[in-house]
Amino acid sequence: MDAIELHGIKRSFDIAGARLEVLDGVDLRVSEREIVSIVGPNGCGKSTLLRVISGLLPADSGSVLAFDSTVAGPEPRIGLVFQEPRLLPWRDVLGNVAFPLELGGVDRSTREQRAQEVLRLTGMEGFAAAYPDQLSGGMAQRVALARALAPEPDILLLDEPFSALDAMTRERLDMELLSLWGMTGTTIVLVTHSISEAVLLSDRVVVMSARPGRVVDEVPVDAPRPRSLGGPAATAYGDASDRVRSVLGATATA
Amino acid sequence: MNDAPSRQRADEGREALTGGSGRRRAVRTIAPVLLAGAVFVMVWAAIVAVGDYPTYILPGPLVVADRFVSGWTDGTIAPHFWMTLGEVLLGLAVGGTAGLLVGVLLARSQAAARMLSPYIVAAQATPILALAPLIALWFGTGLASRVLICALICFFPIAVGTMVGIRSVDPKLIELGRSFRASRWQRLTRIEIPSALPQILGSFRIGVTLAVVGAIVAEWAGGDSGLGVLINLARGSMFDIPLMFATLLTIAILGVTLYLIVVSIERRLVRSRD
Repeated sequence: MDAIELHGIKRSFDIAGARLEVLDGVDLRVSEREIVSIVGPNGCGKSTLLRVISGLLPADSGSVLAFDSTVAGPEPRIGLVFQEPRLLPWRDVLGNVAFPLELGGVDRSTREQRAQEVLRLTGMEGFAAAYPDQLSGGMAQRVALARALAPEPDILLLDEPFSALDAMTRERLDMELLSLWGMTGTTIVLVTHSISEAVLLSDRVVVMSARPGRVVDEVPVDAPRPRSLGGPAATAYGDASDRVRSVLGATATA
Repeated sequence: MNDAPSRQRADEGREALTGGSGRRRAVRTIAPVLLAGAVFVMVWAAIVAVGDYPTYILPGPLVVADRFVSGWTDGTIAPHFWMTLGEVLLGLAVGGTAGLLVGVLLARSQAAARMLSPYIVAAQATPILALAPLIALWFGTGLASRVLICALICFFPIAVGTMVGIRSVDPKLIELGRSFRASRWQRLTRIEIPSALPQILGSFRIGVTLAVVGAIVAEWAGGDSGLGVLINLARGSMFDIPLMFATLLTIAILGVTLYLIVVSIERRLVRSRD
């Protein structure tokens, strides 16, 4: 049984009367506990694809399965982290992390306890009473990650989650994401612009074509886990990066 | 890496929240207000002294202050004051509730906005002074028609403030709510209203001062109690011009106090965002 199964996903948008084909028959399988990155040229529909998997956006045709059952809308078993933290500015960190549980009708003491737990996982336990405008970009995104983990999802979808951060913060959060993955065992699908991030994190890098988006290649990353920056696995990263780059180059010139 | 300085920022923020230098800030805001008031009173006293106006045309500040105190101690002002205060609060409750509901409706439904907006604007453009006698004719000069007039006058800014506030909620937060399966009610109460709260409370600031105006206008249309009635009595049958000024002073204090209460509620509910 796969964690995620996509068959022939098509999706188009009507923009100012013109029909824009964004996804043109995407097929994808993601196994349980796998980390898969999706890369592709700008506007290839990576973010749209992630929204379709999350149930936020219905596909025009094709099917989305999570653990063999159809995804018809947002579900607690699928967590989504956006490019921006999207914290509610009038709530403190604890209130933000507990927010999805509150919407789900979990009682106050249970949800605050759970929120404290996930804040500890993301290294933000000291900031439960802080407000979003007091946090740096990296801290805010950690809170957003904690919020996505609060309902204990089986699948975590991340839409360029660290792209707005500086390179060093980004690398650190990448490593923290890996240790979170080790602790929670969720299946992760990550959309990214960064080939090195994709290779560092993933078991497999899915390369999409320019719009209308299709999967043109899947590059396995043969580096052992736990992953680290550099080290003995550097050649594996390098090989995978080269292959991703060459596939991307071919799609860009095509 | 860049987390260390923001940790410090968080501490500073918390200190500002608990109000470390609150007293000094209070002095800094109140001092200029008192100064302006003192200048106003001195200019007023000077005009009376230089022009040598009789008390029944323009009483001096001391005469008014004296009548203000005696009016409150001899029980002339108090019953009228409580009447007006009751009208204002009830009117604000009714008009505020209606304004919130209609504001949400207008923000939600394009069709409702297109259908209702012209009429709401037209109703607001019609002077309440012209409507008051009509409402008194229909509903009598009692509490009900006064509350209705207060409600009508504060309805508009609150409806518009709510509509604008809810329309300007960040769509990304709405999408966030959707990703967590927020119901329509949860979207409204957990995302849209908290997000629009600064605008909504700003419209209540305007609404509360208008409600005071509405109450006075409604009282002029008839009835036997209220500060508006007392102004007419002081000017007419009682011919007590200092009392009329003392009543005006009471109305002004009422308006300012209610306004400040709304502002302090706002301070408590809306975290200051620098």
